[in-house]
Amino acid sequence: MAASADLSDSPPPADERRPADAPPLLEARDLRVTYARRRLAGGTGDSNAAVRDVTLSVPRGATLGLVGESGSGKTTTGLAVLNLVAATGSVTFDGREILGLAGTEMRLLRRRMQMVFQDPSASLDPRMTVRQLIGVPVKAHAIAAGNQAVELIVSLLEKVALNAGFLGRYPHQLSGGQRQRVAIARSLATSPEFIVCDEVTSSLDVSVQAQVVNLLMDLQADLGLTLLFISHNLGVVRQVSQSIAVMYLGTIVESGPAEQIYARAAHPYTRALLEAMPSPDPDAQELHSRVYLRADTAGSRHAASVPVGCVYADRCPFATSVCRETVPELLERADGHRVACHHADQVWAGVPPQSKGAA
Amino acid sequence: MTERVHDGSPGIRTAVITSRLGLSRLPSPARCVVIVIWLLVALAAIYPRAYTSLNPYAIDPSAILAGPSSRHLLGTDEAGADIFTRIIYGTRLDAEICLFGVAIAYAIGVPLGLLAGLRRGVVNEIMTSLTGGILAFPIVLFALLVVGSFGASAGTLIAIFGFAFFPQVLLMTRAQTMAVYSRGYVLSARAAGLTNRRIIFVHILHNIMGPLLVLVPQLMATALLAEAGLSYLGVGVQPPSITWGALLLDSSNYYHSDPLYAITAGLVITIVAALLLITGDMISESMDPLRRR
Repeated sequence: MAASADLSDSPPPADERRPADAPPLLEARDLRVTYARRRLAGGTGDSNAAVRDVTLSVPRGATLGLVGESGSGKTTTGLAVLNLVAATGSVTFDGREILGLAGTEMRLLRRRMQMVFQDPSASLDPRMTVRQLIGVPVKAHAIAAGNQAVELIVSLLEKVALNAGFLGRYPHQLSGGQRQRVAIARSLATSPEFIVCDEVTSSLDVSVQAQVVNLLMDLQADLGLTLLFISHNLGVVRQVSQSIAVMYLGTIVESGPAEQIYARAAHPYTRALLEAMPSPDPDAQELHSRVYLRADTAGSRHAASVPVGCVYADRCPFATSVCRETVPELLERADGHRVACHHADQVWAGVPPQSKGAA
Repeated sequence: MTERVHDGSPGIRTAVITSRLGLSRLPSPARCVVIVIWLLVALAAIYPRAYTSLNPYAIDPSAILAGPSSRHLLGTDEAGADIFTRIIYGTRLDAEICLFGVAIAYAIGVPLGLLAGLRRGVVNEIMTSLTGGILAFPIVLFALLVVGSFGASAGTLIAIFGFAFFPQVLLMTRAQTMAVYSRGYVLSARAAGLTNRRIIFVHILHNIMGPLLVLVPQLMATALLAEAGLSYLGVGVQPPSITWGALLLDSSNYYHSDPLYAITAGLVITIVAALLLITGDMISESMDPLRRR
């Protein structure tokens, strides 16, 4: 798999384009984010972590897809790698530790790492025109001024397939897709190398989602961007990512090259996610047996309440006593493919679970 | 739909402000009336001669407490001075007291409110108890104490109102700041690498201005009424300065002999205070998209 590195320049297998030992642009190790609970609510320190011991790396020019259900800590992870929430562990960007950086140093670094948020109607100030919105980072980082700034803003708009006619519009005068394009244009204003795309398509119409995803892929190819693409939509992630990390309740349960994950998922949760994807082939549907996910009988699960042992044990049809007692480690099973499951062999081999899923 | 598409940067901000004040759209008849009245009041404050050729201090022993006549529209006071002229000339000092008092309240309240809203924690708690303490203290009692030590003058009144009103401004700024700070665009501004100062000026002040603006006329109305009340107690501005509150005090000795004197002075205060409150309501109406027609 890792061997022949031919120089085909088509985006998807970007991983293979470069030597495996090239340092990643962004790397997070043992990342942990704990949201403080009010003292009155009776929270106790450690169990509140929204993100626990997340380790991931994004090679330069590649896209890492971060998938998981709502509340799994995807967004928090995205904020943490940009040093936008207080986190422990380590995040290195271009070889430099950024956790703990503050003030001017961090602000200068932010030129190189940007974020596009889920809901553009929230992330764009409603009282600003498109020109002002995109002009804010241009001014803040003193990239251009006066006519040059306007030219830059127009060129950014053109990059996202909008034009100068949008300069004077307010966000509420734009469609959802246009708003997200403006947000993307704004994130490009500082010519960043790395962009966290947090559910950039989920607030959009399905027809517009594809446009925005294609736009991002084109931009990535043109500008050599490195992306952390956060989404709950496996279909979208598959389209854009060379590698994928699957999160559940604040931890990464499986990660690896995209083809590997789609073809040979070894964690029951990943299997469940893959099966939940609608298939365009009606016959293929029948081959799936929904055995990887049990109804969430324990009520609402969120990252703040975590069982002892495997985080997924309560919903996992493969779960045995060992799962409820010991936390499975994220172990490498094949080249770059890591799984945190005691029964990964069984899942991998396609052996059905002993106990049938809740009927 | 109501807002036009603007381009050209310097025009945008003013266009936004005027549209939020309800001035860019054709004002409704009620708005027109209010705006015209304010222009008339402003004229009285700036150039009182436009309304009357009489001297407010000119005494006329031959016409003491006279009723309305063609020369004295609202009659004369106890010294024979024209009441209408005195009301017109009183406008300026009243306007100054209200405007500067409220301006001081904002000058103190907005920065401290921003600080409390952004820093939270200990700073916030100190501010909250400070404002609570001030708000709990009766304004009249406070005014009596201050006037007792510093003497009565327009300046003292302005200082008193500035101090008495800043807690309200602080609390509103703090609450609005907290609300705006949790919005997505502040986080995205941080992600874009903006300095805190820039975030405050670019995003926060811009977005909390609406509610803060609505409070201005309300506080001015309170100041106006408080000025009248304090003058009535004899701790307002002192003669020969003229304010409406001072007129009210003068008129109080002649309730029986000349009721029109007291009624006119009181009515002017009441009408202007009501007008201020109506203006506040109109501003908030034009700011709130849900209440826009």
